[in-house]
Amino acid sequence: MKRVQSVFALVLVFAMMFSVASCSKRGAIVQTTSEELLDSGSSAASGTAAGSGAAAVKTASGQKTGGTSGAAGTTGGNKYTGPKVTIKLIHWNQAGQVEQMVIDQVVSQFEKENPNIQVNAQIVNTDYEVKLNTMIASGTVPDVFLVPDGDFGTWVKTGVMLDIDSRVRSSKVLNLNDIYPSAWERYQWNGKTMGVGHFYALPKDIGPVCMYYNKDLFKKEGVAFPSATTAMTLPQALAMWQKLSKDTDGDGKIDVYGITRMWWEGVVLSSGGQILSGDHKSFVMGSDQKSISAIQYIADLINKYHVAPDGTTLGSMNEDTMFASGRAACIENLRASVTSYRQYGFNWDVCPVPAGTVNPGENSWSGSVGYAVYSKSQHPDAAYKLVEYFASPEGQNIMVKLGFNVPLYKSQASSPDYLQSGKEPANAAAFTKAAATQPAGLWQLLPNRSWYDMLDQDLDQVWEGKEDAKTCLQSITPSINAAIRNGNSYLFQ
Amino acid sequence: MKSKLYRKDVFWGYAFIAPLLLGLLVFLLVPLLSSVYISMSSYDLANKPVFKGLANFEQLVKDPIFWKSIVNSLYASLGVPLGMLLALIVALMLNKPDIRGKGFFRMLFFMPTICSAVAVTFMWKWVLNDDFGLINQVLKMMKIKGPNWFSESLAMPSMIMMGVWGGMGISLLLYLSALYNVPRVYYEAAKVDGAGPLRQFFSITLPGISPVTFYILVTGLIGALQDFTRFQIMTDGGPNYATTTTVLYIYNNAFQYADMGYACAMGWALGVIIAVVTIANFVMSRRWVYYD
Repeated sequence: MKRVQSVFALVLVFAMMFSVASCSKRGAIVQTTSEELLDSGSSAASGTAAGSGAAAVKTASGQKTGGTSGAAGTTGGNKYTGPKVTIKLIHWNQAGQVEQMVIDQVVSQFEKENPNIQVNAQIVNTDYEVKLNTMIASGTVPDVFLVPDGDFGTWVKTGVMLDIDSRVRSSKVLNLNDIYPSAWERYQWNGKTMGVGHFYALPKDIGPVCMYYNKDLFKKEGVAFPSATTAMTLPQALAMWQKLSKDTDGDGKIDVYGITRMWWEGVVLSSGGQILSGDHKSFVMGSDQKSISAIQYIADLINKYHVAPDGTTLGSMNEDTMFASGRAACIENLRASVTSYRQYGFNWDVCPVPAGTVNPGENSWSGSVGYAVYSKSQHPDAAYKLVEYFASPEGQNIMVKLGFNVPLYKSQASSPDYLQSGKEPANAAAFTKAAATQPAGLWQLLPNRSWYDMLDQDLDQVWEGKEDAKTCLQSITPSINAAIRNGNSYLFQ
Repeated sequence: MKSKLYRKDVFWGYAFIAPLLLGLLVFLLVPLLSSVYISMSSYDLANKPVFKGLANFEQLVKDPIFWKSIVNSLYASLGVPLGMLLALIVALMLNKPDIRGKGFFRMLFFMPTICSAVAVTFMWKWVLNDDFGLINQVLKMMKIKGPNWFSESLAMPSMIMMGVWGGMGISLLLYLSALYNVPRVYYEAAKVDGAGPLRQFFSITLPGISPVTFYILVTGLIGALQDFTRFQIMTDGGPNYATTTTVLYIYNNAFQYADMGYACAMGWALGVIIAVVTIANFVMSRRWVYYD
């Protein structure tokens, strides 16, 4: 019996150890724009549209390897001229087969232009981060790997990404001035802070956020559509949502809400609230009146004015469904939702997310994924070429044409391939406008983002109306500070 | 003393289990021992672990979320005895000789067990939906205002409810076969002695199936303390950490924050807790488990 016990205990310990490794994945905290498929069928013929405005940009018509296609500069600096190599690329799969299709198209064009490079693309269906972490541990990371911006901090700190700064800055293909700064700033790191310093990755896409609204519901209630270009102020938005919220069956409970849930980060930032201290070492929302009022504003939408549903802890699935079923007139969401919303049986459009008056441009955060070169890659030159290609006007143009991406380049923002007139949303330009001003998510502030996850959990008490914003933010300050310290101890040495 | 033949047999015996032993060594013992070392280091997967003594464990003791997650895991494991009780009641009903459609019911109750945990979780997400979930819709028809099943206080009971539903199939099958195996003669003898159905149940049935009860309890508790997937999908630990189980927290530290050292330290702490619970089970079992 004794022996049975000890063997049993041992087995348990093992089982426990492995339960960690084998567990199934939780999606990236942020689903970035990768899942965007608009309509792969949009094949719009003209290849001359987009990139031509930018200097030293190859237009999309330059498809052959001849090298004469460059709009401006010579192609000499653009091509890989080294020995024949095969490089590996790893990518996640958030959008089903579309993801594969998009990668295949870009890669095959890249291979045509760089005949000495062959790309071996691997698409990971589930558990991308777990898979890559395992590869990092065993030193078998592919030459080029996808980096969701929420994981950038964790990975860059470990040194798995090659510093590509000098290559990026001397690139003849990229035109950084033409890319939205927030799209590339988030892939910089100076050894201590993100958002400044050297490039360790380049963006593949950008996923800005707008407010989607159900036009039919607005018409039914006789409420004017929000402005397509200017963000409403927070009080204006409240007044609008109050007109839209209705108890249709008279049971005392609201059945149609004005909005599902405002994302608190954008409300705080646009109101001029401060989240961390300037050196990012401490959490300051608890003593920052602007942050407190911003958080309280969202809580009041739920608990005081009842224009937003309470206890929506089910996350986006529930919120999407509420919008889909006409139970919410507005929803704040990434552009990735466009495809699925097109299948809804009502008319809708997008507008800027309502914002505070201090920094109305920071009314939400945008998502992004990028590509990095593995620091121990045997073929850094070839690998960098591929990373660069994805971020280049030409690579972007392929993806924009497929309807997959919001263009990274300002000069491509008016591309008919992207705007897709005749399809919802009519106001697609609102997304590119948002891309220009929306910052990266708060994980940008520190490489270890456990403090942010913790804050997000703690705020549930405010959303549930158990505590007011001030009490909550003040009472959680010590534990958030501890999480910042524990996760980012290097900052404090 | 031992014969030559015996020694030869022993040799071949070991030879035959050698592949298995080797596998255990490589895939269990080595990771196990290295996890001890990692639990005492700072390790981000990319760089070599840096030894830092007991710092991870110190952080662990001071980490309120870790303790909350332990409490949550223990809370969640309340679902085990609850599920066992329900399974036993259903098994007793199905065990009546004159019941019709026994196979059908058995299949019905076993169905959740063979469904994918992910699919089942998504289904429950709908059933429990605050606004138009099945349960609250039914309550609404009865003019009762359904609660928000995922509020801080109800989230864990909701998860337990789902766990009981999903885990009942196996317990039920085990109980059915255990009930079948209790020798009829005891009941006949008891009847002759004038024992009523209740007396028979507590003096014959319960002791008779106690080894199975014990088995379900031990494996169920271990499983419950390691529960993870459905929490991740259903609530992702929220709201306000009400459903953050220890394994979910370990997973987040390991794969979201690349803090393997801390995750391993927590893994060991959880392992010790599970071992203690299990040993306690074994010790207590001497009082209530009867082997023939």
